[in-house]
Amino acid sequence: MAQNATLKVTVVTPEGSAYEGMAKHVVAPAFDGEMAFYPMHAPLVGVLGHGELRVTRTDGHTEYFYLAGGVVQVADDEVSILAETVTRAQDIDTTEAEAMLAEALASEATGEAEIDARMDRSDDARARIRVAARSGHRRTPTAAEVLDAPVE
Amino acid sequence: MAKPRAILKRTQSVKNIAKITKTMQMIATAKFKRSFDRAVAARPYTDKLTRLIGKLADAAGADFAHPLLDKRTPKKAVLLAVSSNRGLCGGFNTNAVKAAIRAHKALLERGLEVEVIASGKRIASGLRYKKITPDAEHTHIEDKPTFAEVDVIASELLERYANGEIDEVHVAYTKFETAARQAATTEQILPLEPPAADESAATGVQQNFVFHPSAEEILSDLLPRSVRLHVFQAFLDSAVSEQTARMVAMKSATDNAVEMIRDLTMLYNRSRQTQITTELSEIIGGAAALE
Repeated sequence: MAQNATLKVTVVTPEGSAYEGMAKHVVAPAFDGEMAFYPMHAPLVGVLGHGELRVTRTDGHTEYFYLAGGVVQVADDEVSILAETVTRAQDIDTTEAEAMLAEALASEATGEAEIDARMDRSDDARARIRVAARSGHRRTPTAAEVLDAPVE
Repeated sequence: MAKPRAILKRTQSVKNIAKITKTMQMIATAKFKRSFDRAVAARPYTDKLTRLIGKLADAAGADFAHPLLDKRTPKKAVLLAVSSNRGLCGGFNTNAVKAAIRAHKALLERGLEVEVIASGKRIASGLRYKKITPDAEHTHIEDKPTFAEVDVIASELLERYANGEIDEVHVAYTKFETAARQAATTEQILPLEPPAADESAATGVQQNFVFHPSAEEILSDLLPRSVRLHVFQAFLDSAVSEQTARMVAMKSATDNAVEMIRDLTMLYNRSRQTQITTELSEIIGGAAALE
């Protein structure tokens, strides 16, 4: 593989383009785990879940985004991501995300569908908080806090 | 002939109106620019999604079935009528109301039960005037509809469609074609038309895509998105059309006011002259009588 191979990355939302640039590699949150793309990746179309999108730019700097609901298409060293919500890590409202998590955890869920929906909401809120922590000026929970957290 | 003073007063009030319409025109121009940019910003997403759906439809094959594509015997339809909260924009709201009424009538003629959801104060009151009471009313969407705001409406419709509560969804809105042309139209949102296979795939340059999970499942994930996008597009178009319509309406209002000011000024000058002439002749007449 050529050393200078790069990926062209475009992230678009219905409200406009969220990111556009060249990257060394991209890690996207697939519906079932993370997917990483390096140059010369095989053509692929995949469904994305909610989570963290990492774009490592050609200058080595990594950008973090929170992303929900979308698809990724890779072809000819071009990664196009279509997503309904894309937020830069530093723009995430952690207070809101924490409130979302608390609400999701407090809600009563009976039946499989409701439990799934609740899991979805709490996962979503956790993903937001985790991505926000990437921006640096937000603290990550301490080990004690993690251990004290109620087990689902 | 009218009193010069009264004419002067009228000129002044016309001038004030002209100032307001001129300002409104400028604001509409600025807002038009912004909402136009928003409508354009949505285009790459729309294009890519459409192309992707085409590609997937091709990969999934002709026997692909999805609830959103099902044509069941319709019993209940929803008509989403989109217009604005504000008036003073020429025929924009009137035309949207007319389109909504036409669509409403067409649906009733097909023997369907119709539920009307109105977005915008103007279209809601316009429909009520025609004895069509909207079952729901949204007035919170202003000239900058966000995807999240529209998503709430679209997702609710999708859910109700999935439950079998409603069988068809139509949207009546003003489509923005060019800056000089906007047309009030009605489009069917649900059930979806089966996606056409991508043309470029047929011409031979087909890459072997890896589908994760499978083409069918990705397509099932994308179809509801394309519905939401379609609804969002309708709101964006309506917002741009409103500003264009207001721009044009306020421009002609300003032009008319300016013309009126000119006529009134002329009338004022004439009547002033007449008054002076009358006064002069009275004085001369009076002086002559004294000699």
